[in-house]
Amino acid sequence: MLAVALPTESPAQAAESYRLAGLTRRFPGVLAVDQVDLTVRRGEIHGIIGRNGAGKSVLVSMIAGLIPPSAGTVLASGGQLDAENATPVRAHRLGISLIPQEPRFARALTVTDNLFMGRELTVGLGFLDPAGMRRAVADVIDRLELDASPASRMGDLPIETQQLLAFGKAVFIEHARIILLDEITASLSRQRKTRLLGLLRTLAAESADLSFTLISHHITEVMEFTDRVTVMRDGRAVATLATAKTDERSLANWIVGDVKITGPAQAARPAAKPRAAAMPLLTADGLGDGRDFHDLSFRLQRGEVIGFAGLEGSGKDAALEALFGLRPFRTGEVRLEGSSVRFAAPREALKAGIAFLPKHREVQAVIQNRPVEDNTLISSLRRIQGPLGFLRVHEGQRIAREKTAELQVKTPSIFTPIDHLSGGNKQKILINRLSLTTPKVFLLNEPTRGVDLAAKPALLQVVRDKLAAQSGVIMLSESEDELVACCDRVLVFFRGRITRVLERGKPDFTVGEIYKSVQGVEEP
Amino acid sequence: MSGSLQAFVRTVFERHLIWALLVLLVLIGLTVPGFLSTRNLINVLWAAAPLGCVVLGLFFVLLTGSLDLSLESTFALAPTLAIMIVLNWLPDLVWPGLTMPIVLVIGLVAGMVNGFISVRLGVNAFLVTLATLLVYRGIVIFLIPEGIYYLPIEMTFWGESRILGFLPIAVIIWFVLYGLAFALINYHRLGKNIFALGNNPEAAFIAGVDVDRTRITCFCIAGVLAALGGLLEVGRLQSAVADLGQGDILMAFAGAILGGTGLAGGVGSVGGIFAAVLVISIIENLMNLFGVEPSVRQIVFGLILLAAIYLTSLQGRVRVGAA
Repeated sequence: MLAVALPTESPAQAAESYRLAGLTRRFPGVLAVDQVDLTVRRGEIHGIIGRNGAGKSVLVSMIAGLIPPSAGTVLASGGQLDAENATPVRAHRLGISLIPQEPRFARALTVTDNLFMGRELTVGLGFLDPAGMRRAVADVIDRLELDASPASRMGDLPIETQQLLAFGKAVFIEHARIILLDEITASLSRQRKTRLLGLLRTLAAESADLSFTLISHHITEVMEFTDRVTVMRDGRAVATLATAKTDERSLANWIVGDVKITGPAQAARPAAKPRAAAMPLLTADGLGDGRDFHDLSFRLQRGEVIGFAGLEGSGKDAALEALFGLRPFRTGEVRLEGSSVRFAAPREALKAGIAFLPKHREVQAVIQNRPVEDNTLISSLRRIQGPLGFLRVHEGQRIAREKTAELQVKTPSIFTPIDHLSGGNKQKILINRLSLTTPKVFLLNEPTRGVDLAAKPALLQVVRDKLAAQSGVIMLSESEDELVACCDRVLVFFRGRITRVLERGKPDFTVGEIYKSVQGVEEP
Repeated sequence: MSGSLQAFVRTVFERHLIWALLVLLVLIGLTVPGFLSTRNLINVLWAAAPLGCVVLGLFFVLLTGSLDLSLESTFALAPTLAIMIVLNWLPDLVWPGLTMPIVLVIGLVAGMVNGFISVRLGVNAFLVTLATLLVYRGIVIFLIPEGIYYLPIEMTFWGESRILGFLPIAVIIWFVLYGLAFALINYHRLGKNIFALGNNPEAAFIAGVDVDRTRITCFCIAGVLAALGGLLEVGRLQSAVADLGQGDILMAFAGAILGGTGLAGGVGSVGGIFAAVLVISIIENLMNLFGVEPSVRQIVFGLILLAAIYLTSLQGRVRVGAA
């Protein structure tokens, strides 16, 4: 119904796929998106790039009608979305389709069932036209060059194929005109990416009313895939550049902005005094698993905080898990205070003195339905164990109370189920859980993930002042600000290898430099 | 004052609805002549002891997020094998007084088999224990198709005899077991580990809990408790029959669920299942006293159970509403 341009449109409007006018979204205490104006043209592949928290995903959610804007409008031919009327259904009617990072399909149903769900082809009287649907789906599969059949069970297909099918559904079956691709390239293989790019180009050329908006935080991808790119920073669209006329380095500069340290600057501190004589706490030598990370070497001293920086899939998460025994390494060696270690299970690592804070708090760390007390003590029950394995309960409660007070966890009591607490308080409890095992090394994966903005500096302070006081800390963060604020050294991971080491006190120990290395932007 | 009353009522509804149900049943019982007599009450407890053991065993397995259907067969297998060993196979070597430890060891092995196959070999516990349910029962039927009667006192002692002339030892064992389980669940490392892995196995693993070993331990505990329950029942009936406990696993599930045990794992309390076992036993007793015809008894029982389970299911919603 939107295929025919209305005759009243001016030439400028005819060239325009959609336009954002003063689009704004406020959350309590945060201005997530701040008066964004943006025009995306028909036939264009438009990139939106920015660091974590720059407002990309909120912006895209507003375009897709998932979040109503606080102010401003999304204008597409045929209508608009604004604070009053924005809904996913309305966005859909305007021809807008968002391909999410993780497609939501009915896993037990076939590809055909999923692609035609709710819009089945019929031969009349409600009887389905299976042959017709199968043909259409086979067509989609061919065009995307996928390894699947219309009768494949969706759940059996790799996530990358599911993602591309979601794309195919939007373009070929729903005939959406405004396609938003949210980090879709993150999980695609190199070869697949190139093919997808080719397909986007062909499609844009074939039907001139299509536009693609690609959300990414990978500079290289945006450079490769897009015609123009809009840079988001602190909720604002700071620049829209023609991709052909810019380069990775200047794009990186736009993204980072003036090199100023924002966020928990008060946690910044002088470099740890090097204790040259001391034996390193933890040494990794040529560590590799033959797949996700290769030839990693570093050493960690007591009192030191090392940061691992890198994109998703850069190998930093895998390396951290390997140090804790959650996954094996094939080559190289890890030494803890001089003796070689290799753990088959987390409890062995804990016993040896390595504590690990996982990234996905609710899935991997929080024990739901259980009180603060149990969540604090679960890794250190040995401490309060009496005869026959019975626990000195009062001793346990005393410790839990003490630790809870020490980190100022806001909870009515230690008997409150942990589920009632906020993300920041849960995280503090988990940090208490780790520190009660009195480890030599803390491995922290995104310690401030899912924590209120206001609570982040306090958590980093704990990492810096308390955890690093007696131990060594390795910390992963997607925020370069946090790494600069907290770490003595930052190791940058790129495609499974450590490509750069930045040290506190050196002139290149800045948010901007870390960001560029993380993105794999070459030195000039 | 009314505020604290309200809070009390709310607590009852949120956590202890099963106790309210128990009180209600006792109140109904008061109107029935003969219910309140010491003899009748003792009988209620006595009849409840074997089921109480099986429910407690199932409770441990359910807390880990697994289940064990074979408990009702272990219930028969352990005493049967012990009786065969003592009376037929090794009558000269084994003193009949050793029946109890032998029963417990057989229960342990039966539970360990379930635990090992389902945990270490990673086979669905429903399927594993469905198979062992058949195998264990099959062994019993093979060994004692006609049943064994006139058992020596050493074998029936635990289920049959009374101290002070009125209190069955079985009832004392039952109480002690629940007390022990309460301590184990609330004040022991094992209990903390069980709750941790029942609510979030991945988090428990990362936090250093030996998840597999804890799970297998729970299967072993369940086997031992079911075996002990079987011994008490054999003593109470003074005979071992091939269909001992057959079909009782459903009642054990009913008890565990009525007592507030979550089927998904990690939720439940010893007090809750204790009350639930009493509730089941009292319902049966009241049906006896009311003279409900045996042919319709099962229908009545099923309906009462349905109502009771509906009522206890309300407490989850009360809790959600309050949050």
